[in-house]
Amino acid sequence: MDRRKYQRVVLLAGLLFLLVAVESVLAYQMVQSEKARQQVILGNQVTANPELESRIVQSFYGKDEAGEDLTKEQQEIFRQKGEALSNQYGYTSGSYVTANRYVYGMAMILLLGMAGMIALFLAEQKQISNLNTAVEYQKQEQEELELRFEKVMKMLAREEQETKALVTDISHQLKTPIASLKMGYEIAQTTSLTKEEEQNLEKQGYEEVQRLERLLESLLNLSKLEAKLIQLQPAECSLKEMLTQAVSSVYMKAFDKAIQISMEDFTDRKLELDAKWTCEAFANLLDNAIKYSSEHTEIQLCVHILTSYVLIEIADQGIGIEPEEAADIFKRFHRGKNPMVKEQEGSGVGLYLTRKIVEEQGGTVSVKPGYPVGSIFRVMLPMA
Amino acid sequence: MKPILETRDLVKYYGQGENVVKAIDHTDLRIAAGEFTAIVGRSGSGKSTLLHMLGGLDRPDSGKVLIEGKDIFNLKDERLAMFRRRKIGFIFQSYNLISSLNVWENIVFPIGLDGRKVDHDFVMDIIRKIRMEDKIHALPSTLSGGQQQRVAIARALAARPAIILADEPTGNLDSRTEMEVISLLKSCVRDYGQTLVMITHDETIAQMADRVLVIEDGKVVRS
Repeated sequence: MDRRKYQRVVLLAGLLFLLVAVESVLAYQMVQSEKARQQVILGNQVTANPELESRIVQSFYGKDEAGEDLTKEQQEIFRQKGEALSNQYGYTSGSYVTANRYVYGMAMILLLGMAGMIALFLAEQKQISNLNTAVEYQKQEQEELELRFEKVMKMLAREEQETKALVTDISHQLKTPIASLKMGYEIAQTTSLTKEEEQNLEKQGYEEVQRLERLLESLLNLSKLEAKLIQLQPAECSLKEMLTQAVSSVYMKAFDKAIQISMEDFTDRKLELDAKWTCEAFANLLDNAIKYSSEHTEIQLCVHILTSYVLIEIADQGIGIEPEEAADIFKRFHRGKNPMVKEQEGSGVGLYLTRKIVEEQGGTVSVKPGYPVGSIFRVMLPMA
Repeated sequence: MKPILETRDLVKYYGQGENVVKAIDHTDLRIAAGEFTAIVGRSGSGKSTLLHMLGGLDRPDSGKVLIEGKDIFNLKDERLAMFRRRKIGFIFQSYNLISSLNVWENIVFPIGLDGRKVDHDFVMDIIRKIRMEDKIHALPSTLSGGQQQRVAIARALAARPAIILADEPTGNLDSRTEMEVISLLKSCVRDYGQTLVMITHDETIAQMADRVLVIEDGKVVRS
């Protein structure tokens, strides 16, 4: 910027110098041409009246007959007489044609020069105003950046707090099944039990172990969140393979509840995604569908290829989601109000994790009510 | 946190006496930079009026709209129009494309209106994102509804506004195209770090937002 400004100053100074130089040359030439013209007149007159030679030369340089300078009064008298003579012979425009041309030329050049300088000045002004706008833009952009940064920092701080609270919560929840198991073993060791009591105790123990397992799963999910998902490594992967893998990872859970998972056939697409994590996102959705469906129901997977995205729909025949709650279920640590949801162990991390995985990769996930029951989860993933 | 968009005690009534309609009734809201906010409400709840106020398209009866802390209604009409062109991108339900201009011309038109230079690479980047790179010379009348809305999105994004205001942008589209358009809008806004405020009556779309504001009778009842 500085250099350009310097250039403009030099340009302006150069123009001014050129203007003065041209005008000076013109003025000098005008004087020269006027001098020459006067000499012509002198020569002309002396040739016409050779007898009056000395008188004419004297008069030409402004002297009277005695060789003295003319007085003011004499000059005035002669001027009037000359003018009257000129008029008498019809030379009203005077004899300064050449000089007049010079004057016009000089005036034109002066005007042109002035115009050029004004144009330069205006360009400069515009440049300055453009610069000011640019500076304003930059300032605004910086402000926006700061705002965004502040937002991220706040969010991080909040997430950290929430995570800590949840870890404490789950740790406390872990105590209960362990205490119950411990008590069960103590009873079994110290008392003799009937066959029926023994069976009851065994069944209860198994339930407690299952509960422990689920709580551990939640902790595992949490630790994944802690890792902030920065390990997302997109690579070319097959959509069909990913979905098949997700289905097989929950197959046993579905089998236990006699839930049938079916996938409509579709032409496979290559996507540019992190296969491992995306598969995890689908597995989470399927896991949810199984968890909140009753036995002998069906889960359907359906793939639609759109323009920029593939749409994967997972429809279950489970308990469904109230429309008012639909916007909240993807929030971190959200737990449904439905009693059947509360019954299930969980941390409210699964769907949040799913959304995070999908959105980090430029997709979206949403849910709508199924027909006539259940929910349809819809995942949009960008095509490479 | 300093909000990018804020209203203070905003009021807009239509009609007089007994027929008065309280389109916006003393509304205060704050929208943080980079946030995707959905404004949900029944038709006639005042959401469109609110969006028009946020974008400076209509002046309120009283109250303020602050964008980056600046009261936009303190500006003269001409300055407000300039501010709007630079700060805000609009997307409407009716795509509002100019029928005699082709896709490229439609997209860069607002930039030209503002007397700015078109960042060719940036605009092409957006066009590739909306998958219209082989349609840049097509006229809007030859495009489907979904394609037209993609162009309208690109037009809103191309001027790099800090805020995008969308009024039922997918109202005329089928469910799948709708999902796609919203996903596209969401991912663009995320990539370019913009703030998106979208009006919708569709709960499915609202789920994709970071935040949902529910409007009833001109008031924010849940946020």
